[in-house]
Amino acid sequence: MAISNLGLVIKKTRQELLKEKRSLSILIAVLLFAILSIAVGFTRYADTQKTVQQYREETRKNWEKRPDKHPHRMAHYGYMVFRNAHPLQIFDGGIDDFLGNVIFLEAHKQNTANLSEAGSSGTLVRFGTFSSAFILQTIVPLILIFLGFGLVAREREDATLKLLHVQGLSARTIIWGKVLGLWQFSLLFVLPLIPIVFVAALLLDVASWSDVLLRLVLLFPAYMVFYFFISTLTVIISARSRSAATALVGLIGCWLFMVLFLPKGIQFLAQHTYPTPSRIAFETKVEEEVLKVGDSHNPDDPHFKHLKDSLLSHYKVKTTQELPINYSGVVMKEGERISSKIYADHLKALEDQYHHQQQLTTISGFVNPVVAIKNLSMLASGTDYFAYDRFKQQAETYRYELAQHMNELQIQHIANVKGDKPAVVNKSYWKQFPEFRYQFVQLDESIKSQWLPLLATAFWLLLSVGLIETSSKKLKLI
Amino acid sequence: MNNYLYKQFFRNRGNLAALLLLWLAGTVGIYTGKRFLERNEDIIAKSASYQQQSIAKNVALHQDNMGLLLYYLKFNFVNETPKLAALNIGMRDLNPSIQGVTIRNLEEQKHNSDFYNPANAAAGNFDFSFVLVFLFPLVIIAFCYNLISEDQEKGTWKLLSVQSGNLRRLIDAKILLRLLAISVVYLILLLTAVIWIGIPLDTHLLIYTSIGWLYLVFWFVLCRWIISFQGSSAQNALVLVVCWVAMNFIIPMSANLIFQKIYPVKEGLEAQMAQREGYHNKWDEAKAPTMQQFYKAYPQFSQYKVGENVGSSYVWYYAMQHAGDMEAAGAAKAYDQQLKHRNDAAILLGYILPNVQTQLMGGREAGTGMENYLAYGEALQQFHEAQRLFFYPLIFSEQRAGLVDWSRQTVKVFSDSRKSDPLQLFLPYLFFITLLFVLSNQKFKKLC
Repeated sequence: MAISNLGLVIKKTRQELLKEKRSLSILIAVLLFAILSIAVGFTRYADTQKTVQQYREETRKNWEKRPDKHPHRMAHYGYMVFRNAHPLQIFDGGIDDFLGNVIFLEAHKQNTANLSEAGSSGTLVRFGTFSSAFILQTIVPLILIFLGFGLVAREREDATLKLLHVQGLSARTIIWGKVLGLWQFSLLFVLPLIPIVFVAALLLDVASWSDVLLRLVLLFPAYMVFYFFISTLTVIISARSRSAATALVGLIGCWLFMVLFLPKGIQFLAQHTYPTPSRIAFETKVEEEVLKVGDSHNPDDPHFKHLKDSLLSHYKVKTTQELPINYSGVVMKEGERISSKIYADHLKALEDQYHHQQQLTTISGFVNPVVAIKNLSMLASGTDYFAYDRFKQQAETYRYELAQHMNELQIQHIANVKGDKPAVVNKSYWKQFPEFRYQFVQLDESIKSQWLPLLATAFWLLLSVGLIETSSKKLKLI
Repeated sequence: MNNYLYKQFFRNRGNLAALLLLWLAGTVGIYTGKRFLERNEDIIAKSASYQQQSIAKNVALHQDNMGLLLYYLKFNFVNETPKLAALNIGMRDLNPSIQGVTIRNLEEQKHNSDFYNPANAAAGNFDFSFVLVFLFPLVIIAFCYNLISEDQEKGTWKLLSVQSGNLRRLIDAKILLRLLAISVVYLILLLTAVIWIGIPLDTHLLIYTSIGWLYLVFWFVLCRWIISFQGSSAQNALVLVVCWVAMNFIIPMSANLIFQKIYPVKEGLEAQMAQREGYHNKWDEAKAPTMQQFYKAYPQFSQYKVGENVGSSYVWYYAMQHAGDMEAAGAAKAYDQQLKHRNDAAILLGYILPNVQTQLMGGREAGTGMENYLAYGEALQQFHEAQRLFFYPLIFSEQRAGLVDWSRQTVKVFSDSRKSDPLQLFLPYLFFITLLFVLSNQKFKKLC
């Protein structure tokens, strides 16, 4: 294929798309909508950030100003942790709306993250929330279809396709040229957004510039690959259809399939293949097992009786009252360890089911390019399930440390027998326990545990090339 | 002539395939709802025995410590799920249909959501309402976009205008035939749902069916108007698909983003902070003010005095828990108010967008919308209060647990009345249908 010829076809395709008044106004409208959504997302993020920051400081202030107290009361006073979304949420909200925003952490109890934006939004949220990512994933492909459905079919209808061939253009050059021309045009929807998202994310002053840059470096090439596939699909269906009208119908069908049917179908399949228990069933099971293994509040429990005997022999004393340490603190610490373990085991089983469900969706990225780009886009924006999982893990680790730290304070400082030492510890200990700081999940960590979406994107790139090559062999000129 | 139109429509394999596809999608949607309902019913059915087991175990463990026993005991309260909810799952997958609460501070417990996979929730349910709101219009568009332009493009339009006395009647007959075909599929699906799921034949079902059908009529009239401009097939298809995308995606999604921004719900977080401070601070304060506040709310318990130097007392403990609720009450109410604002804004949007109207009002009829969530929240509070009032005297007078009739502590159910104003329900549809009908008639006048 002669390079100069290919360049000519690309240039002609691109310029014809640009020349049309309609496509230019669509381009402007799309960019305007995208920028507006980023702007609204920006102020919303800043508002939330301010509120969360305020409540976080208040939580800390309240924690530090607690008076002298029994450590176990402090463990029940607990801590509130608030979730922060990654600033790239302004570009791709991912599943953020459906995530709980606050977790109350206390001893003995693992609470869920509550108060999601979706839960407080009513049925309207079923239509989704607007974002640039939504436009780029759903609307722009539809636009490309509408602008490109006639690229080959119409030339055939007008008999100009034969003319091109006679003039020495191979079928391969024509197809490659049309695809690349449409693809270059599609980049106009993506490229202007890169600096805007970059600057907006930096202005929020939450993540470092290198982190944002790294994420964008992954994000936008992924969209470019996605559009390469959409351009290929458009041109190939246009080339294989009898008329431009049938090409359009076929392409709209493909779009519906990729955007509506497949994602929902896979989600349905996932939920029914990997069912999950209800909260009530879950909690009843956990309670049952905790009561079975050992109840730290029950003095006659066999497990704790064993603990008592070993302590007594270790300190060579006869009764718990003679122990140099606070006995009920030891009991509580052991109880926390046991109940946390049971809860964690059950939670792991539940999360495994979710993980299987996620895995099915990820794999469907090899069948559906829209899911592939959706997954990768969320991953790069730090608004995916993995990021949420990390938040919950960090919160649970903090909760466990808090509870055990308080138990330790009780063991060391609280009188074992009344009157020995005071029943409270000094408030200065509260300050010493560090604040909860949520660490955003690092991009490389995300990728390491989920490389399939990346692979899926590469797969679609290769498939596109393959499709173009095979289609150019079958191109009907008349 | 109608016989001929009928043959023309059904001889087209594409048309039959589209109707079949619609039927298939609708059936999958109904199946999704059925599965959802079954899981829900299973959870609720099991909760009764779970509650019994839990009560038995804890009563055995804390025979003579009523205060500690009630610290542990959870009482389940069901938000009744109407069978119709299978057709419009609405918010019921996010908000639990059953909640267990202890008689401690309610604010801390009431937002405890059920476990759900957020990725699944974000993708949304493939329920019947989704098929109705999103997919039916697409088939309607496919049926109608080229009703005039096809003949114009094939060159048979002139022939038709010579042979047929009234072109408008011809077009209307074609549209009516398609409306009939779509309505038959719609009604078959609903009939399937009624039999398969066992949805009771009541006014809610009637309203649900009517608004759904009016929504379909709306799309036919919209198509009638668009094709009356006599654009090319491709142009009509483009305009109608753009309408569909704008109505189903762009406008409601942007509205959602804007409502979330205009009505922030930080009060939810505020209430969480307030209840926690309200309760826990009382441990470090003098007992008298806490008790005063408690006696003011419940004068009937003022006989249970708590001395300042008493080490621990369950009267004081539950008075502190009560204080948590009291101090969060303002923020909690403000939070509910914001939810109501968001919902009211959505309802306003429904007046101008029939698809939003269908989704929202369908949800209201099925008891899966925000109205139901708020009503249930209120009922939960009353239930919680009733449980408190029942157990407070038993705890305060230090009754033995064995003396309480625990068999009466069964799972209680809240049934929503789901009232709707017919004017609010139907007027938006009727307005748009009439408007578009009149507008397209104007255009049709120039047809011949």
